[in-house]
Amino acid sequence: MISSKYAGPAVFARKISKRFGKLQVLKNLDIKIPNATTYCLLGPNGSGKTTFIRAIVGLIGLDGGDLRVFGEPVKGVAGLYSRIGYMTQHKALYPDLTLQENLEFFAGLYGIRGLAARKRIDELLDMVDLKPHRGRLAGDLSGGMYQRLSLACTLIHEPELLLLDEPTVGVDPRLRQTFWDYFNRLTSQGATILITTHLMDEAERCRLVGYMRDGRLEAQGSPDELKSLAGLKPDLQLWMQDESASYSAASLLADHGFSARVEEGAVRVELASESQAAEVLRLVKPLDLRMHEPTLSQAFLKLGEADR
Amino acid sequence: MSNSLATRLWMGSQDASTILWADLMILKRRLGRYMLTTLISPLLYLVAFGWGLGRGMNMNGTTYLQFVVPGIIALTAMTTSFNGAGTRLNVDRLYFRSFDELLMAPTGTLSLLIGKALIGVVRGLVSSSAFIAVALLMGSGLHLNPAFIIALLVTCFSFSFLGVMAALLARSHQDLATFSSVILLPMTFLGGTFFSLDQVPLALKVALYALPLTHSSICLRAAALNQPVPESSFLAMLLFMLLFFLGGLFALRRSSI
Repeated sequence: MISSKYAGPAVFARKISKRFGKLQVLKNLDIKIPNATTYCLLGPNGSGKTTFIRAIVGLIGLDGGDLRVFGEPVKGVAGLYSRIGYMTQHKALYPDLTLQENLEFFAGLYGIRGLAARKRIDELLDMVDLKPHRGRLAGDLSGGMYQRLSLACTLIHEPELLLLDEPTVGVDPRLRQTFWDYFNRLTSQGATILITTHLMDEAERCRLVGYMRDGRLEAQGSPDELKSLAGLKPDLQLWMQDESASYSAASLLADHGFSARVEEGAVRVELASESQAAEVLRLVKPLDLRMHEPTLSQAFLKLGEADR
Repeated sequence: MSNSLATRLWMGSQDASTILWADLMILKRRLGRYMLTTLISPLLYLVAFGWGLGRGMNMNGTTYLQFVVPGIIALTAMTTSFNGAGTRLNVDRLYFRSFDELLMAPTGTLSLLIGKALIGVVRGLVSSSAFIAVALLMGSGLHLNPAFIIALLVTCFSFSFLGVMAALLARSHQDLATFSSVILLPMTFLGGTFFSLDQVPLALKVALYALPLTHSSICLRAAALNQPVPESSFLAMLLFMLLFFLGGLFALRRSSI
């Protein structure tokens, strides 16, 4: 049962920097990842996401700044390894060992042996839907199956801080849902999950999202907060009887202070909030309608434009 | 205090055995192929030098075959232990990146070093044992006594630690290959394996006595011929083992922050 012993932020970074040769990858990065939450780190390739994660687990040293994990300076992170699980983009498993043996190996590294190991391995193989393949060599697995085994190996010791670098690449939607159910269960038990992904629908599932660009954190907040930061609002699409009715409706709505335009034969009305939809429908009677919620993807496009 | 030390030792040995276990499983799956590739060189040396070139030669009262077989065992132990620990670790670290997983596990540095070195020792012992069996069948007249076994073990441990150290310090696969070519290959021929060091000029002799394989050859040969093992060479072997162990520890500590 996971339950974090530390009340402060799971990860705290203040003005951390890292340079590889001439390339400054992290530039005075400030991030605070609260405990018992799912935090998604988004950003284009080369924005420094993976470097940040590798710094958290001590695989790279920093040039400057303060990075703490569960309140401990990262220099002492080795003492916290039993509480951290890191799944890299291409987690290194032993291709010449079977799935069962790979899991036994990782369990042994974390001091889980005997009956406890067997129980945990069964549970994880179930979760990642690989139980019938436990005797296959890891090197013979497909990309998606390999990814699932990687996740199982990462979770073997029930870490309190889970660092997942693009964990659902190659995983089918049904299983992805299973993974997210499991992640949510872990956070409800007190685990902190830091995840990097390019999939916006995955980011939407996280409680907090950070947008990294060029080694800095450009924006951070809940998915809704980020959409609002980008100035995005929901809009309503209305289909009227004909084009002239559409133009009349748009003009009427504009007279009442709405931002409305005719686009591809339909009227699009921007709403400050969803509750304004009722007022719009009091003014016009469409044949059909559809509400469009802004997406995180639009938010980041907009935030990206603002940066440029 | 002693209880806590015993617990730590027990946990450390469990960690090391977990690390060794994974490599042992891999070795078990590839044993046939491994034996084939690892025995080719020593058997060629045996045929070329022991039977071919050295037939009829006498070395201080023994046949050349009796003289050369312990040398070939020493070089087999050296190369297989070094490669068994070093090459695999180098590939794991730089290609598969699976060594990062070990660095991120709550495993002590010492357990990690010993676990990784032990697979080199096992490979060295397996190859050497197979070669010894062949040599015995060919009538080399080896004496397998405790001194011989201890000398073989120390040789395997020494070169396994050297392999771990070299693999951790290498920045590329090429670096390790270069190390093998520049350090191990010359040692293979010059480390008292194929000829007696009594026959070389003094300056060269001094240089050759600085090689760890020289002392392994001397000790293994003395034990195999049922002669007293020179204490100075045995001490030198232990010193090299300690040196490579500390070097491996340093390289490992440098790998993690």
